Amino acid sequence: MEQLPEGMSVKSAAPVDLEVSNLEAWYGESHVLHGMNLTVRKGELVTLMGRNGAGKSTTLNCINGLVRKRKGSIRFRDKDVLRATPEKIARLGLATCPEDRAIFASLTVAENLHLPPLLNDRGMSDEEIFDLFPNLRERLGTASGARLSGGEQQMLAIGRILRSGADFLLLDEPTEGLAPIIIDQIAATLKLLRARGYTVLLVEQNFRFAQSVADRHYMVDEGRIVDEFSNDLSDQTKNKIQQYLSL
Amino acid sequence: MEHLSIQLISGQLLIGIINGSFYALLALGLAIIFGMLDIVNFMQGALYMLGAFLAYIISQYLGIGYWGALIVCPILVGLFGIVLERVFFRAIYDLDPVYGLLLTFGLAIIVEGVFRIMFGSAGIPYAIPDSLRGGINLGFVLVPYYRGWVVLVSLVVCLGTWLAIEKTPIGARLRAATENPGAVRTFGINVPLMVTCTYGFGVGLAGLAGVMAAPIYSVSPQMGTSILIVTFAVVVIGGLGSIAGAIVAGYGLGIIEGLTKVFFPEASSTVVFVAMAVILLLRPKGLFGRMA
Amino acid sequence: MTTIVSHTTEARTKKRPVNLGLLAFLAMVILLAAAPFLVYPLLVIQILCFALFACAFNLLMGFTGLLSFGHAMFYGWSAYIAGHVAIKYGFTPELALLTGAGSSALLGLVVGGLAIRRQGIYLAMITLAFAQMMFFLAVQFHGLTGGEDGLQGIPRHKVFGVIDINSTDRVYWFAFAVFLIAFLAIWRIIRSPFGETLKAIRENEARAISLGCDTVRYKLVAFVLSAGFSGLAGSLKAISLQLATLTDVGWQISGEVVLMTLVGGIGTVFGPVVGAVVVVGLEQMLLGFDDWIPVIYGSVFVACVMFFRKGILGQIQRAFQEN
Repeated sequence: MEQLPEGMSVKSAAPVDLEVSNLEAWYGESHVLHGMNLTVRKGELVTLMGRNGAGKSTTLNCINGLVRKRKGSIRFRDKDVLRATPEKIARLGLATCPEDRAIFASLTVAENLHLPPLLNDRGMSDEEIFDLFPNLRERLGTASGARLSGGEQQMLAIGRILRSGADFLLLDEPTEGLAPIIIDQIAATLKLLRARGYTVLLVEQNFRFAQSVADRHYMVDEGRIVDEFSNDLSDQTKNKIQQYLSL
Repeated sequence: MEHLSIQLISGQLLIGIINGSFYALLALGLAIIFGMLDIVNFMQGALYMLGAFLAYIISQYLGIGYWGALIVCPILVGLFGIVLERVFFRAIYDLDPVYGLLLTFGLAIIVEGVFRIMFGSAGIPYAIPDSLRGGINLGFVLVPYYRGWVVLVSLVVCLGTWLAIEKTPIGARLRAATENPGAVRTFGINVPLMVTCTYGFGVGLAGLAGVMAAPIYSVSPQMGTSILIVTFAVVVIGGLGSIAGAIVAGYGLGIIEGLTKVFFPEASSTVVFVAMAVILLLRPKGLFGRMA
Repeated sequence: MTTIVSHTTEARTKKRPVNLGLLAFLAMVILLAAAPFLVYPLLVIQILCFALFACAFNLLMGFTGLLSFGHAMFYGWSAYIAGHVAIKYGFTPELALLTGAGSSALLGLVVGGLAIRRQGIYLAMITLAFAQMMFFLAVQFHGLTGGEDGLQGIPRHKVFGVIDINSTDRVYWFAFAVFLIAFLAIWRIIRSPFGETLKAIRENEARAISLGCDTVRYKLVAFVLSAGFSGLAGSLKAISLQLATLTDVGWQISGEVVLMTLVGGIGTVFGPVVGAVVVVGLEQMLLGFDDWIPVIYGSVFVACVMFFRKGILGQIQRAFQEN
């Protein structure tokens, strides 16, 4: 493990928001996670990287309660949530932005945005969200969420979970298939969230993007964590990462 | 050719609108339940019958009249439906939706059979409430107050339900949960509870229809089955997933049935099915359907 | 039409079921041949007709994966047609059977053509609705069907003009022969490349389509075959038992054939026969308690759907496969 530079030590003293130990999970008959171990402290932005099928999305879906067949331990903010329902876990302050974005076609854009209930009064207002994603303001009147472009849907998906007041975010490949200009907007948003003290667990294949926003990276392979790096990366580490991702 | 007077036509049209009111209420319940649970609730007819019988029973044994029945019976039927859902439907959610149809079919036969054992097959009369007796003579047609009341209530309930689902935030949650229940749960919304309540409402609609039907059609164990099969045709015509389709097709088919009775009486019992065949040919998804 | 061979476990265990199947077939033949000496022959004929009906239904539900809730229209209307031509035109039994089965196949083509493109539940509702329409038509066209009274005293003319079947014993052998021929035909269809394609469609239609199969055509053919054989069962009933009534076109019969197939084992070859025996037997046990029949039937339905989806033979088959 690399030495953490001076500025990072504050976060290593922060309380642990999420602790996953020996997590195993199954999708139907298929044994997808073989013992995940990871920790996320309050205020960190941590990424899960790895090839397709490594188990990154499954890990997120175990944390938020959607995957039911699992063993091991998941502690969120000091509570054991292994057996908790997704809605209970959400109310502890967890929000998910799934890989398929889950924009509802039978809802208007406005209804999509306002769907998640407010968990507390610390959520962002509509105005603040439109400042982050100006396109959404224009498209607010659209009759169906399905009519938005991929980038707009991603912005909507992120925007709506910022309204609720949840401060631990699970983001699954937010930049996938998006134009660079929108990726930049998302990067700016994540940096803003970090500054405000949000905790983020991010699944990303785009390593450059991950590097621009994260504190730490986990490498996932075949349902396990196989390596961990801080964001201060030597060339040697970068090569290692490329190897993991390309095999 | 019979003498086609305006009285004859308006009279049958009125009957058609009344029948259509019941078709719409039952089809609405079916559409809501199918949208939420992916189950075609074959019990809808039996629950309609249950609503009518409960109205009769609480009138006979508890002295509760029509107005009380109008509130109590839909709630009782809704609760009964929820209990059945918890006990039986949980087992089959992950299976092919066809099993849902078979399960509810079996339950429907049981309920109908039990009531036949308890009450026999003859129709039991249920009186029109005193305050709604009589009617208003519009010159070309006599509109009994009770029938007018039935049409009014069903219009209000249907439109109200449609508005609630399509235009309110709670309706938005329902629509979203129909599309992707997992994602909705991750926002902190208790989807299982919402599903149960919605199912209870859909079932309660059948109970409400039953109470209102009791004074018109009298109360018998088999009253559910015949209307249910027509309701299926209505739902196919309107489009299985569509709330608006159920309502429009329900009233529409009631009216078409009524008019057919005037102009082509032999076809009146089959016209609904012919209409279904035509829709299947021309617009297979149904009038408002979104699903294949 | 391209054919697709299914790579399911059924293909791998094909060797065993052939011998097991032969044994089962012989057992069935022996039992059915002995039955009229032990049980009232007309009752066994009723079982034969229902068994054939259930086998035809199983072709559609068990092997193609399509639930029709209106098969009574094929069974019942064919009974009317066969009865009508026997009475009015003196058709000999084999001609009456062919006419009845043919008319049902035609009806199956029309209904199937309209309904087949829809997904499973829709199909069930559409067939139920069409069957109800056919019921109302049966009431209306009482010149053809006898209305509320039905067709009674349908004559049993000589088969091929020479074979006399006008006694209970003789008509039993006639019904038995027809049943066996039809059963073997259905079995042959199931085991043919066509049947394998149907099974592939049942298991994963999307995959079958992606492999180039015109699934709509296959499903329609299965529907027509199922309708035709159901019609054969209905016609057989009309000629053997000399009766065709409104009950035969009612929705209860549609439900009963589903029940027989479910109890016996969906997707097994002999399951429908076992199911027919069980259901008719149940009905016999409940004689005098007519009111309880719907409650018992419904309960068996619910119990099967919740706990016993494979049916009797399905469970046995699974037990064999696990050894």
